[in-house]
Amino acid sequence: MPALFSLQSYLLLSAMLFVIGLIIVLTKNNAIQIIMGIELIFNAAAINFVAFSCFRPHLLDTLQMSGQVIAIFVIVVAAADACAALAIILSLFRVFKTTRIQNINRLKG
Amino acid sequence: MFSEEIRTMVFFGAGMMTLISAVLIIFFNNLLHSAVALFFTLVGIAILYILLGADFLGISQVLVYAGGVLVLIIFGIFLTTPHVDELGSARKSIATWITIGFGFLLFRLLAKMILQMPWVTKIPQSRPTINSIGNLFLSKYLLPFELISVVLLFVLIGSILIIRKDLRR
Repeated sequence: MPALFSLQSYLLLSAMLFVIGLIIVLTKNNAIQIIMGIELIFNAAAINFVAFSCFRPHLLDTLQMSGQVIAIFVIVVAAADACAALAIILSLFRVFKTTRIQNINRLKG
Repeated sequence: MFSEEIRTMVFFGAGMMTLISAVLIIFFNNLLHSAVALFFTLVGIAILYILLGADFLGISQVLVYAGGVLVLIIFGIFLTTPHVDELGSARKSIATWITIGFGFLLFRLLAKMILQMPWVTKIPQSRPTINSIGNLFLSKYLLPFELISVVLLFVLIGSILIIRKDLRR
């Protein structure tokens, strides 16, 4: 059994977050809650990058920081993603008067 | 920076906060309650980053996610949901429970893989990271850095174009 503060527990936590995000994306019927699930999945991936780069032994300084730089890229992409998705949801709401994805079933509004 | 016991305790607390509030998102039907739970999840993840010694990343997580994306999501909720309370049925269907079961199986698979692997690790020590991150942004990752700024500009213009009232008038 490894110690509590270790690479394994970070990886387990990020796997748990990924699975929770996947369940939210698959089961929720509101588009905004699906965005929340997607954000959780992005965060799980970023936690993996940072944990691997920080727990890796005998690494050069530039390589040590690469995981954090990629995590910052992930944060930026997630912000852009949320922005575009909310714009799409707002314009869908203007046509369909709802954000429940069961009721959004026509291609030509 | 921290002693061993304090680090373990903070890790346990932050991890529990992250996981419990993430699970609560599944079970909340009210959109605003889900947004508040998402806030606690994101703050917990920021604490986990700071425990790893990634201070700049934790700060930017709080700034961008809890301050930017979450406010955007709450704006979306307020603009699209007329009556926040009467949204969705409280009853969980059988398909939801089946999905949760399959998710648990997937987690068991991932956990088995993670625990079997003999990782060679060291305890991360904390140093100031902002200098190195800035150097990397302007040397090794210069092209992705410029590309991502162009992506942000495109997303900004595209969102405004999508959300405009009527393109023809």
